[in-house]
Amino acid sequence: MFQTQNLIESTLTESIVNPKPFFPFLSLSLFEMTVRVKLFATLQELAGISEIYIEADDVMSVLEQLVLKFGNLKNEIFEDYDRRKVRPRVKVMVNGYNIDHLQGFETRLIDGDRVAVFPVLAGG
Amino acid sequence: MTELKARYEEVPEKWKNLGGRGLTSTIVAEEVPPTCHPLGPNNKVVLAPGIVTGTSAPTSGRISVGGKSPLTGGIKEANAGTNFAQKLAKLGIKALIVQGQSKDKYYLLKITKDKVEFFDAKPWVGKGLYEVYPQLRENFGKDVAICATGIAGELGGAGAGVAFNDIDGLPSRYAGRGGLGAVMATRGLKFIVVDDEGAPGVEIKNRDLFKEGTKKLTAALQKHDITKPGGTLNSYGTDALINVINEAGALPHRNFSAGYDELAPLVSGEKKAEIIKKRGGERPHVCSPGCIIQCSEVWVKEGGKDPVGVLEYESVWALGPNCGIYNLDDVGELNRACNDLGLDTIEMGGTIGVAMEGGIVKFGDGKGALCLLEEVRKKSPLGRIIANGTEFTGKAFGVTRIPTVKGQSIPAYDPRPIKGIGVTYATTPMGADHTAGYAIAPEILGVGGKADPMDTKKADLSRALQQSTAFIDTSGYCLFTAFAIMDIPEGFEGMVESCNGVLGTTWTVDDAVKLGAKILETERKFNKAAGLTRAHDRLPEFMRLEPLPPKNVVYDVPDAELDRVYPD
Repeated sequence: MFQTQNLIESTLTESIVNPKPFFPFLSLSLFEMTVRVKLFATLQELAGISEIYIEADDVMSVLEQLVLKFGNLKNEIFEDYDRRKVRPRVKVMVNGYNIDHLQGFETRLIDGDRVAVFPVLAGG
Repeated sequence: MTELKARYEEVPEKWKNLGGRGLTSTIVAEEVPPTCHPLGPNNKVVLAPGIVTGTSAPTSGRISVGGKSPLTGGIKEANAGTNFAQKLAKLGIKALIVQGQSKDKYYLLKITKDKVEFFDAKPWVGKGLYEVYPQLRENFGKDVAICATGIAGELGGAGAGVAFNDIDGLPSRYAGRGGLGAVMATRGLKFIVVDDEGAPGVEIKNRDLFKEGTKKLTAALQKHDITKPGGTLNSYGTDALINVINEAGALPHRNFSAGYDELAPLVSGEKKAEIIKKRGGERPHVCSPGCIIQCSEVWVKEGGKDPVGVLEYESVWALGPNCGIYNLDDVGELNRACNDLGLDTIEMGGTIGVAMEGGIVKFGDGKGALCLLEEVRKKSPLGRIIANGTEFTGKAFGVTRIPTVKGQSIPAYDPRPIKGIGVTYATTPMGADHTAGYAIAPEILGVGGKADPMDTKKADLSRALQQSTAFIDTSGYCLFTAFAIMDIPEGFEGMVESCNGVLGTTWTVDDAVKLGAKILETERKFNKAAGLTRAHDRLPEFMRLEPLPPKNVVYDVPDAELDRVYPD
């Protein structure tokens, strides 16, 4: 609808911010990264907390660990956990940038990154 | 109003397939001289329910209010969800045109199926609307719907909105933007009361098509994660956006000086829903009967006192973070004061923000902010400045960071890190208005596709959204239906079919978008004749000069890209 889909896809640009570590080997890693994870809306309500610090080196790892810590988030976040298929309604931002415009669930994280996870929502 | 007369006219053939914004803008463009003084004798206020309003179509209780805006100097349409719209439509009234000016006093207009009467409004002039609304129901019937302009309108304040009742009768549903409350008050009209008892209802030309269309749209609304029962709008209201937009670094704090603050969650939708659960109030709630999204609520003080009505995302942001205020009780008080005085919450948030920037009150001082609004009630010189909105107040106090476009306050998304919404703010005929082409949906929310918010090529996106929005604003459906129909094409088909069912037309989805484009053309033509040029299709200079933390970006969409939205 609104005939915007094609327009949008044709105007997508490469992400302008890539939160990859300056030294890529760090992410391979002997050192896990501690990131600040914020949960909003239903995810916050189900987990019973609004934020948590997690050791993870990419976004998928954050989601996996959220499920390990809060079992009731499993079906909220994943359509198929075994195949690591995330529900389309789940949105993730890293340091304020939507991962759709970074490297998706493979977006690498560095120490101190802020990861926000929330269900699709709206207002106005 | 000059002669205190009312008359019915047949709807001209050329207008019969219009409603809502399409109808108000067309009438204003034809009947209001573009160069007239907005508060002078030649301006008019036009109220029109949407095409399907008053029928059983879901989430369609919208009324458009139009006129020449004292805030922007251009054409204005503002709309609200209220049973006032449905009652007017059921009486068979396509539009109510208020013209002329009474010489000496304010009036109340009462409309029933049998007659239209004028009453002296003196007993209710100069009073807050929370006090007046119950009195009007006591006088004119407990089920009447009420439209009003408040004390701010009496001052001719360009920040004055037009108030309507919610389903509990609270004056909390506003066609807030653009100062149309002042246009209404300067006609000499303070209140409109509608009683639809015995009303004939809305004529539906093709019932089968109407039924089929509403069925498709209902299915889309009930399926989409945002609009479905128990979905995010229903569970948290529009204020759920506070955390997300803050996270994106685009929630304006302290008069657009930062895009992120750790304190934002204190005024979030999540926090609000939690408080309402504990202290009372209501969530979810509806603005008008027949809404299946039900994003509204009733916010109350501790102990259940002083119900405000809804605290929308825009209002919470404007009166909260934009003023450095992170306390929902303070925000509730400020929102209640705006509703009571007849003020647009977005405009007042911007106004208090620049007043704070100018040193009149400190950022974060909720009580001080309330004192500023109370000056409006006193009709003091300071109150008159405040009632005139952000740009006027900014100038009065020597502030240069004034967040307006065409004189209208910028809403709750800083365009520096979200380029497309800035294109809409700059180019819509309405002045800064997020609802005119809600690029936030694809840029931040991933609804209706995915657009990189930092990409500066957004002319085509904004134009397409503005056209579709102009149609939705005409149809009578709430703009929030767009979240579902942007992702579910059958929903949009259903919306158009339901309009065809009412009107007996054969519009396609493409025809609907073309109608939107035509409405925009009409509005832009009016603005051009009123003296608005490309130079007015720009964001304020500070947004190109001052990087917004934490992303530290300026607004860098080239002027040529802005001009590409409407290349005429």
